[in-house]
Amino acid sequence: MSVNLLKNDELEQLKDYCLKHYGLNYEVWAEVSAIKTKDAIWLVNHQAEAFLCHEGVNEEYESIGLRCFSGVCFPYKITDGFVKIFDNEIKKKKLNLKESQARAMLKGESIPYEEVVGHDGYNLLFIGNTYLGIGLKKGDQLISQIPKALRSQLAKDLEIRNE
Amino acid sequence: MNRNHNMMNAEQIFHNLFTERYRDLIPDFDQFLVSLNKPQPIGLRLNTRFNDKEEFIKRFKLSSSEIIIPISEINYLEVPSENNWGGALEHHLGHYYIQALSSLIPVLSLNLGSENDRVLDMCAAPGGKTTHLAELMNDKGVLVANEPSLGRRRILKASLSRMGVSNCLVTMKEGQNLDFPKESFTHILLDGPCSSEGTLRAPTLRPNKKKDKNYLNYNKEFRKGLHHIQSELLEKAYSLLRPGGELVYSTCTYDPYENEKQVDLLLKKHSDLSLVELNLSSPSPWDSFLCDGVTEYRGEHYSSELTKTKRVYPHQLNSIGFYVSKFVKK
Repeated sequence: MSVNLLKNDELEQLKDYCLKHYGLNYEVWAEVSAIKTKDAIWLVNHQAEAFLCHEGVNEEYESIGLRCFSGVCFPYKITDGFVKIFDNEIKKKKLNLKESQARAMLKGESIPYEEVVGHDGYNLLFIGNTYLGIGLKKGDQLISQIPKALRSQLAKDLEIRNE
Repeated sequence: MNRNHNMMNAEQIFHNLFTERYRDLIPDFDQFLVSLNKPQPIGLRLNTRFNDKEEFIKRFKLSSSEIIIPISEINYLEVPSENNWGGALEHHLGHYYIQALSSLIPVLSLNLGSENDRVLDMCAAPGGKTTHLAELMNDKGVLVANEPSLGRRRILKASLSRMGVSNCLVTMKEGQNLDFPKESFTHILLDGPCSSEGTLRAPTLRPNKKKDKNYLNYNKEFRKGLHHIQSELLEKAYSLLRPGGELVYSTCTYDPYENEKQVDLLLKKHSDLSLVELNLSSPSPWDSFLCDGVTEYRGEHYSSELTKTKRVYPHQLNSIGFYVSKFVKK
């Protein structure tokens, strides 16, 4: 895939977005470089970025660090990779779901707006302290973004825990 | 009835083949045969980014009788096989990787942890060792994971993403055709393609599996092809390794032609390469589970240095069979 470092203005825009929407301080970006491909933004450490741009230039890469944003421009769609890399630094848009709501998300059903207190856009879904996946709040609905292939498996796991 | 009959046949054929090839090679051979019919334990390597061992034990309500931790210093647990560990939310979140205990040894043998590490995993899928390498690197330095097969690369990428690895670049070539400049890497792991004899344990000891068929047929061409690929991969690994760098070559097979012979050939070709003991902690808790590599097999003699390489047998370490060797380049 063709690989480009995010330009300064693009990176600033991304940082501003993450501060506004997820409470992510600018300092957390000091450890990572942002790489843009056709359809995603990847975050990788600086050593890997340097290797990519100098020592490993002859090779073709299929993945670079963690795929943190799906799409390369506003509005940014966060992925599980974003949650993994920034983890506790994320302060906003964390929704704690009731068990029935978590089940609905895992069935692929949407939850009516009035039942959750959240913000428009992509939210992190939790059940208790455990991260479950991403939900998109759009209009009057919260729509599950948990990969379809995982939903039934995770729903089953949730049932077993509550037995 | 028919299935049982087939299974008996397969087991018998494996036993006969192993007996013919390895009776004189493997210590306590009868115990070895018995161990092949015992189920392989389920083991989890915990991702230290997300949890510690004690918390994990509490969360999954594991009683101490269920936890067999032969190597207490690593974040590894043997767990009850009834649980669907692959289906748990924590698995999806990357809190652990389901992995055989012996497959930790190649990664633990490398001295990792510097920001300047440039690490290559030449045959990386499905990603157990790759994600382990990343963890020991603390996500510093650079980890290049190569996997030529598209299907297996998908699994590798899913593993890297699940385990939250941020220092890894994935390439997709046949390992012997990698296009990095010479001496690009400080550490190389070559867990090469092999006949996988070490994985032939219950419940995988079944007929009609592709790899078992290869073994059952004892296809000489298949084996010869493997030897050629292994030799090419080792040669490439040598050229990509920096002076002062470390190369670990491992397989999950017992066959000395794929193990000691390959190592011996590489040593003879390159005088600046030498074998060293595996760098497991000292005094090594692994010692009682490891056997020295062999220096003689079916009339062939290998360097006495080969005793520095190690063999893992399932009747000694309750896991899959493995072979691990470690080189340094002067």
